[in-house]
Amino acid sequence: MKQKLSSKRGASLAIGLVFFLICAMVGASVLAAATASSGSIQTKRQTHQDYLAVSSAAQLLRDEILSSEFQAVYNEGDSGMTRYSFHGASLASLMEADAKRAYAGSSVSRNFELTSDEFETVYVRYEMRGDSLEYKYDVTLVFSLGEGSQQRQAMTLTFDAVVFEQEVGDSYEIPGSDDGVIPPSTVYFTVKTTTVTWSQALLEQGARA
Amino acid sequence: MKKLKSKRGETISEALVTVLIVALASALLVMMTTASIRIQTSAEEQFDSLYDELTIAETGAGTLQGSVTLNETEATGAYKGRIANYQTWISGDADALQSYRKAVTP
Repeated sequence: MKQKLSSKRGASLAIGLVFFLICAMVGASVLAAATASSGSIQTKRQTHQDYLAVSSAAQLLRDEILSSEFQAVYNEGDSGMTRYSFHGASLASLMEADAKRAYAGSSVSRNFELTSDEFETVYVRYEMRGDSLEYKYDVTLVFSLGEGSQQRQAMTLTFDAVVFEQEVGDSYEIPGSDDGVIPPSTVYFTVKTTTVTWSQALLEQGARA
Repeated sequence: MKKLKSKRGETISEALVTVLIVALASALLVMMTTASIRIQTSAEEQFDSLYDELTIAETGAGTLQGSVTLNETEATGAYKGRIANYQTWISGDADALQSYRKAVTP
C-alpha cells in the first residue's frame, strides 16, 4: 500500500477505494437514520396509549368529584349535634367520611386502583386536606401506571374546595307544664351550615406531592 | 496532489478494477438510499396513522362498551375492596389507540 501510494503510477485505484468508502459511510448513515425514525413509532404508540389510559381515569374521577357536595349543619346553642350529608356519585360514602375528618381538621389519604380488561391498571393516590384552614377540603389525586420505581406517565389532578358558611338564627318554643309549675320558654340557637363543593379541576403532567 | 498531477498512466487492469469499485460503490449508495426512502415513507405513514388513531381516541363518540372497576387498596392500612364499577364507552378500534369515558346512564 505504502509502495503503491508512493509510486508514480496512476491514482485511480486509490481514488476508487476512497469513493467506495465514502459511499458506504453515507449510505450507512442514511439507512441508520431512517431505521431509527421507524423504530421510534412503537415507543410513541406505547407512550400515547399510556397517556390515554391515565387521562381517561383522571377524567372519570374528575367528573365524580365535581358533582359532589358535602354539607355539615351544626346547631350551636341547642343540641350541639352536627348533621352531615353528602351528595355525589360512587365516591360519596368515602368522601363523606373524609370530609367529616377534614371538618374536624385531619387530612386523609387513600390508595385506589382502576382496573379494566382493555386498559392497564391505573394507580391513584388520593388526599383530602384538613390540616390547614386555608386549604381545607382541597383534594389531590396522583394517577400513574406501574408502582414504585416502575411508575410512569404520572399525572396530578387537583381540586380547590369552595367552602360556603352560613349562620342563621332560629328558635323554638317549649310549652310549660299544665299545672303552671314550669313556665313556657323559648330556645334560641344558631344553625351554622358549611357547604363544600369542589371546582377548578386542574390536570397536570407529573406527580405532585 | 503530486500523485494527482502526475502525467504517468496505469495498467488496463487497474483501470478496470477501479471502474468496478466505483460501479459497486454507486450501486451500494443507490440501494441504501432507496431503502432509506422506503423506510422513511413507511414511517411517515405510520406516524400519520398514529395521529389519526389519537384523534379518534380523544374525540371519538365511543362505540365499544367496557367497564372499569375502582378498588381501594389502602386507606390508613385497611383494605377496603371494590368501591364502584363504571360502565364505559371506549373510543378507538380494538387494535388501535383507545381511551374511555363513563357511560351516561339514561
